[in-house]
Amino acid sequence: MKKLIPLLLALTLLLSLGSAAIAAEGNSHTYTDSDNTTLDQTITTKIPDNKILWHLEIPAEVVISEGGVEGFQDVKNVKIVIDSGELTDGQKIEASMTYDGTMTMETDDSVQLAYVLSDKTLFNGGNYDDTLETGKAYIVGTKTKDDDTYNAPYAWVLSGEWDMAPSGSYAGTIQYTSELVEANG
Amino acid sequence: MKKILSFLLTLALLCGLGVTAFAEEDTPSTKGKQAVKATVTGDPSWVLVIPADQTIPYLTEETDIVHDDCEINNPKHIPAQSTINASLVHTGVFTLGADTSKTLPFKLNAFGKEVAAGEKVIASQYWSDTHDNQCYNEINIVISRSAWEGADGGVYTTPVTYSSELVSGIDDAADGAPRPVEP
Repeated sequence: MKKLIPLLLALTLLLSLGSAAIAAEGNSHTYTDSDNTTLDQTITTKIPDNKILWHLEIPAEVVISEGGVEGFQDVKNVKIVIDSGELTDGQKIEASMTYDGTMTMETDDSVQLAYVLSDKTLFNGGNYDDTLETGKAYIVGTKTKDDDTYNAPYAWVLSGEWDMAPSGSYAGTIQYTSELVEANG
Repeated sequence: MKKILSFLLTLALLCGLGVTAFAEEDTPSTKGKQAVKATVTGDPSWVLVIPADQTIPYLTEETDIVHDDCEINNPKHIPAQSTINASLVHTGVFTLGADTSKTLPFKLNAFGKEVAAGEKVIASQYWSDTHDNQCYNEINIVISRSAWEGADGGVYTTPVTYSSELVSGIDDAADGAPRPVEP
């Protein structure tokens, strides 16, 4: 009997994992020509009871100086500003950032210039170990009831990219978003 | 008598040779035809898969809801020159679970154009002639900052309702964008 209990528990876990995987793919229905069945996708959102409102102050544009890693620039910190309400214990606002690593020439968007962002805390003068992955979200700011922490990256262009790029002005975009995170989910 | 018998035997031989010659006309050919027949039975059918339930983070103003997951799969016996349309409709408001009289309004946009509450918009299509399946992923929910600010605290939900139907004709939009469906 003692051996059976762990087996049953493991089986239950596997079955629940299986149904969770099915749920993640959404519902499905087999239709025939005259079938009028409908399927519902439920969209849910939660507004916290303490109704805190905030906005992000996005730093001004960053201009990377020509000349390889020595031209690196501080992207500068995004700032989380509370408009109304107060964060409670267990609540925090996280600001995150993504980038695609590409600037395009302002007069010809088919011409591109690659750039990288490096984690400032790991930056050691242009080593790819400190480079942030493109398309991946990184937390660059956290605000709690008592504290704010920010960690803007550096931006720079590899020497080889400078050399290969046609002359002109290039521009790219760093995307920021923020969300309220509650300890109890 | 012998002459008659001889004549009859010769005639019988000639007739026999003639029959043989007719029978052998098709046999030595290097070409030929053989009929192949089959009968397909069964009503048209297909599987519609809709996107998973989704949670929108608080204060998020724009959220994609389709994500390429509205799929028409496993089509069977679909007539030529026909299209399967999968469509969605929405209510335009989230309702508070604890008090459904309290709402959070939203707009649903398809390819940058607002789709009114109750209006059907195509989210996915399958074309029989090309066996091509197109999911439209630029369908999103927009909740304005002022709507967030005006709503009470709590958990809100809204259904996005999907259906599908087989229609005659290849309804292949030139711009690839979903369009309202005629009621």
